[in-house]
Amino acid sequence: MRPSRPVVAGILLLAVSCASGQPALFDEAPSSPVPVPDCATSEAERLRSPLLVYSAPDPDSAIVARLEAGRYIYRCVRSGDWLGIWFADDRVDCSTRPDDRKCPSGWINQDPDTESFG
Amino acid sequence: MTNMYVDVEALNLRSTAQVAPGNRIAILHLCQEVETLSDADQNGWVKVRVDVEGTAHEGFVSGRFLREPVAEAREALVAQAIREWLRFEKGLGREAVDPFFKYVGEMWQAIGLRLDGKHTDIPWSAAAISFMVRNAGEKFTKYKNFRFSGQHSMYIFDSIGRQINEDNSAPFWGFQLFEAQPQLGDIVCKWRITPQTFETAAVSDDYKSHCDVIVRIGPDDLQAIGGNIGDSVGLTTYKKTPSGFVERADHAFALLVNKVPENRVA
Repeated sequence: MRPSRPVVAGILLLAVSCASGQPALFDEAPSSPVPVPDCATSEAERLRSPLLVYSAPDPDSAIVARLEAGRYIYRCVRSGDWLGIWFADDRVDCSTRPDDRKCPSGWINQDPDTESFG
Repeated sequence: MTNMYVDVEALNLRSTAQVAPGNRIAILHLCQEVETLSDADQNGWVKVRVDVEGTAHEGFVSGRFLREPVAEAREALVAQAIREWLRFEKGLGREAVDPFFKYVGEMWQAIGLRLDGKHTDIPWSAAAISFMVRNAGEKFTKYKNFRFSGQHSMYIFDSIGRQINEDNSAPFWGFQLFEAQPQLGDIVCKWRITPQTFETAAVSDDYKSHCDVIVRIGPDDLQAIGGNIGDSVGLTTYKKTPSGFVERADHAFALLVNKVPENRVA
């Protein structure tokens, strides 16, 4: 059976995003994005295992990033079982970013497995 | 005569055995090695020969600010801590500034992380301690058995476990603060953010903490050097109890006792 066009398009989108090294982005956002408040910590932690980052503290919200082990995140704010995080994009951490160090952000629904230095 | 070490943060070297305007030759730093050329006179002045930035000087210092050497292996680690403190201009060299970020980068790379030191949101204090211990291992190979890590909690856990197992290959054994009096070249540890005890540190290797290498022991307190202190390599003072142990204050909870014997590399 041949895959339908939307499935092929989805696979292509995923393949392109993987090949470009960018996080996989999905078009449909079932719930509105919830901004993560300014980060209370200035310490970045290194992921030991991958993470899915959502646009809101809601499992039905869009996935905004798929972070691999070795990427750095900041634990910003709790919302129930969810944790709002910053994550560095093309940099190691957010300390060298312009615009007040702000990094991309999102929500995770698990306690991240990280190496917290120092 | 004999070699001794400066036992204060800064000590004046003078051309004559008196405090007088204009007779200061140089300022000696903490743990700087001097060769004594005389016993102390009635006022406590000792004639010394000392190397200052590559030039030999002779002069006088107040003898009460000198100490006897301790075991060579301990002096080796103290010397590495002092070396980093001096590289960071005694706490004034800031981590994000050239050349200091490069020194932080060296510390990261020594533990296998490809960081260049420019990213100041990643605490580097454990990388600094690992770097000091690793470099001390050039003279005393037992230091190479250290659990090098970017997390203090990793090597604290390792040192406690090896103490419990009486592992004589370990460079450090972890003890509760009341179990061992601190000595030069020991490492004192404290928790950050989430409270820890010796008991929790014995079963967990993953929490935020900080450790420093002890470089001076006074009657009431001690001083220790660590990384990422005020964004530099700096000195921290820890209080002692009247019986000579590190006081359980300011989050301090463990002492890693230096167990490196005199097995200098030939």
